[in-house]
Amino acid sequence: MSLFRYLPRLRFLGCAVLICFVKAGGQEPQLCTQINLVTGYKIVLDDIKFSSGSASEQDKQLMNLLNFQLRSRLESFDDEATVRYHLIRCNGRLPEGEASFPPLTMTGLVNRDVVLEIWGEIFGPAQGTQRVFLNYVMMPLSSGSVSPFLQRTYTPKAGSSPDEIVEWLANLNELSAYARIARAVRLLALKGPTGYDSAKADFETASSDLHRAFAPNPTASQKELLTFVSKRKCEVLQDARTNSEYKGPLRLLPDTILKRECTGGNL
Amino acid sequence: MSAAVAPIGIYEGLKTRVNPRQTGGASLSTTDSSIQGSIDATDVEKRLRSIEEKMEHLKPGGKDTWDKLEKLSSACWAVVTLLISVFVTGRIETALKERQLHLENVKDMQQLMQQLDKADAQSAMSYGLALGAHGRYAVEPMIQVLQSGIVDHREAAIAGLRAAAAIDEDFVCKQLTGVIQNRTRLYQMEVPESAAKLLGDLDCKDAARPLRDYVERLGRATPETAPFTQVPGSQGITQANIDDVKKQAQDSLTAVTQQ
Repeated sequence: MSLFRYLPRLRFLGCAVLICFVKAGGQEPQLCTQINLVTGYKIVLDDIKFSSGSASEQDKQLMNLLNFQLRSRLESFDDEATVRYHLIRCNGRLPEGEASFPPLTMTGLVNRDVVLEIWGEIFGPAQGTQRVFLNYVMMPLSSGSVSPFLQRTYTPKAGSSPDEIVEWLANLNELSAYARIARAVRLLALKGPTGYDSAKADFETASSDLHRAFAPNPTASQKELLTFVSKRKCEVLQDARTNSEYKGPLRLLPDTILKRECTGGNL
Repeated sequence: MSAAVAPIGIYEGLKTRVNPRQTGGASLSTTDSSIQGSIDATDVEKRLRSIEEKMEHLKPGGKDTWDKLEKLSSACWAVVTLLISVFVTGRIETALKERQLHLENVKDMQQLMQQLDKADAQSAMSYGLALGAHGRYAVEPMIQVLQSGIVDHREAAIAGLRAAAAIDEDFVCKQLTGVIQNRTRLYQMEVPESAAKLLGDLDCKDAARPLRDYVERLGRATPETAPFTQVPGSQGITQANIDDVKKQAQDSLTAVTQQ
């Protein structure tokens, strides 16, 4: 008699367990094989968890929207096809910080010209504002003196609706600045002096955007990154004047400008 | 003893019978004929003795070695046939069992391979190790995982090859040596790089010479003549790629040649 009384509860529990299994089995793979199919400088967009949780239908739609807007913006940056960014959306991928990037993985991504990987989480809205946590990895910087990993927290002044947050993310200059730094470093490693013009332009734009983004009080790691950018740009300018392999306009750069660029005047 | 006496009796009888014929019925004096008769008898006796000796030789004697061997040969042949059949059957059975084992391994591995294909980095590692536990049968699939170039699976493939070497080190070393000896640009850059690294890690002593040759070949290589193809999704082979593989091969060479 008592067994019959508990039957509906047992049935409910059974259903719940079944749903859990289906959900676990139905998770999308975290692989990103598209990296191997696209040639050029790649930006990998992993999941950004909105407040409703990564698996929900609304989050998927928001990620699709962000993917579309960000791709349009990034791909419009450069006229030259060889240096153009390609945005790769990695559905379901959410790295666990630096541990997810062992040296072999990092080298593999650098060799595939992945310049930047982004993932994050959005909290709120609380008191009308949302907090956005974003993680950046600038792959080509892994062999340099500066850490390729960056974590940033933002409180966007934009409205609190998800659509507005997506638009704010898509137009985030800081994101494109990191992409530019990483691309310049990779370009120099791949092409040497023939990439000086493009690298110099990237360093300059990135430096300017990051100065604005980090103002008024940059942290120690942010200062380190700014110094790195400034130093690499200076190296490019100095070498361009003497390197016989380089034939571009930087050969004729006046001493005064070079001196200004290389004495931290731009910092 | 009687055998020795008997021929003399026969000889005596023969002597009386043979004598007149030997003389040809000639007229001999009694004295002469008695002397002659005794001479003939001695001669005939000698001849008969020699005949008897010859006949004695002709008598079938005891079985010699060849006779014994002839009889043994039939038995030997049966034993040899049995041994050959046992040996051949054993070989065939071993080959069949090996093939059966291979098929069973392939069936076992098929599911793991399918799961590895879809796995993230963490799960891929456990699938890689499970595959590596199949020993030599896992080597080619792991090399193919490296060749497919999925970034998150590279560590897993290397771990799988290490696990396979724990079971069948010689085979793994031989297969990895084959990778760096390939001259047809069959593999993408990460495959020979990983193979060169593993040859050092596994202390494949026999790979010292191939590694030395490979270092020399890479020393002469340019992006156009490199003995491997570009990493999937990259813009091409760079001199840095060649230098990376060469460094790996050089490190392994140092490791396997040091005392």
